[in-house]
Amino acid sequence: MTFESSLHRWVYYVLLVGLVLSMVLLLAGAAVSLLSAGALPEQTLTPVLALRSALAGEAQGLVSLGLLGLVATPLAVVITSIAVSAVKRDRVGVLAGIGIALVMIVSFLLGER
Amino acid sequence: MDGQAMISLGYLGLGAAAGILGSLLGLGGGILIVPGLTLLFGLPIKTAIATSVIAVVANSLAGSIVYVRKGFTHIKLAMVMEVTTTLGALAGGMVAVWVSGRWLYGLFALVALYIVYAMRRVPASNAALDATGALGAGFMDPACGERTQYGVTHLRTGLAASTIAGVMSSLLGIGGGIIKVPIMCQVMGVPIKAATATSTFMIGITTATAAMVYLGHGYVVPAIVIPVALGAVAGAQLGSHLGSRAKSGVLRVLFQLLLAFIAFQMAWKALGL
Repeated sequence: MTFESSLHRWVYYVLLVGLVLSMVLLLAGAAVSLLSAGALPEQTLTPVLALRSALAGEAQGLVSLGLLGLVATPLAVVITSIAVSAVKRDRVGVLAGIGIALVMIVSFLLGER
Repeated sequence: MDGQAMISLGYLGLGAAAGILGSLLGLGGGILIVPGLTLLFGLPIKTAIATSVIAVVANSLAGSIVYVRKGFTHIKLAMVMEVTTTLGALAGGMVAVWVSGRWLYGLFALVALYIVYAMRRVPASNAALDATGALGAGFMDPACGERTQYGVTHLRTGLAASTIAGVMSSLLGIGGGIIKVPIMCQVMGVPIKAATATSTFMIGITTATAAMVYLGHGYVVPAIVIPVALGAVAGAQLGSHLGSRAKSGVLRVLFQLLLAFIAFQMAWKALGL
């Protein structure tokens, strides 16, 4: 399998899984919230609190985790691209991917409340 | 049906309209979501921009799934250009948190007017192909049943334009495709289908960078984001089906008129009138 077709295949899977998981969490959170409170949540939670809350089946946690998943999917795509490029020994792909991932991680850290 | 449910349905409709138009015209959809939320629903512009970046990420992921599967997306070119785009997005996201809302309204009006002008020049077909240059790639074009090969030229110009697109993306909550697609097509020698697909893919990464900043600062309101994002994803699917039958020239003129009206409204707000 060529570098391009391998990259397309893995990126496609990550996009698909990321979007479907995020949408399922968002819809589940919205359903729980509408059934229990009659309205959608007004605020998001930090990642650690969101995980705890989602594991407890709470709407705010499920919605926050869904939004985090949606935003994190492009980062997962970048990491996948780095891995495929490394396996196929594509230096430009590895360096570009690492550069993007670093900026995204800095954004995430700067965005921490 | 109570008032809140009606408003949520309104958000859903706005997201769907932005998704349909964005998909039909090759834009992220944010250029309609931000003015829609501020002018129709009276939301603060920073909340509108935060909502828009999340919806644009969802829209981009949904579109990229289709384009990557078809092989239209030049992933390696996208990754190279994203290095400068994400840096621009990070800078734009940090500035947007501190800059006053009136400046954002004014800048949005200027960018909307630029888009009205720039939409006259976006090519409608696979023109200006060149099989030479760095980062060569190709895809099977179902329209002609042949494989299209191309090379990439003027990478430095593309990187500079990508930085500007990144800043605009996070500062105003728009995708930036209106800057990247014409540059890729007219300067870098990328065919329109590959340029649109590559731009759609890049928009997801760029706006996710901005979305992390907005999410962390608490500007993202799930009660608004969920209906808008769901509407945008559904609208993008519908728009991609309608796209094959719609007359692009008529759509383009209608969109330009709508955008000129939006630019006028946003400028009005910027001036505090």
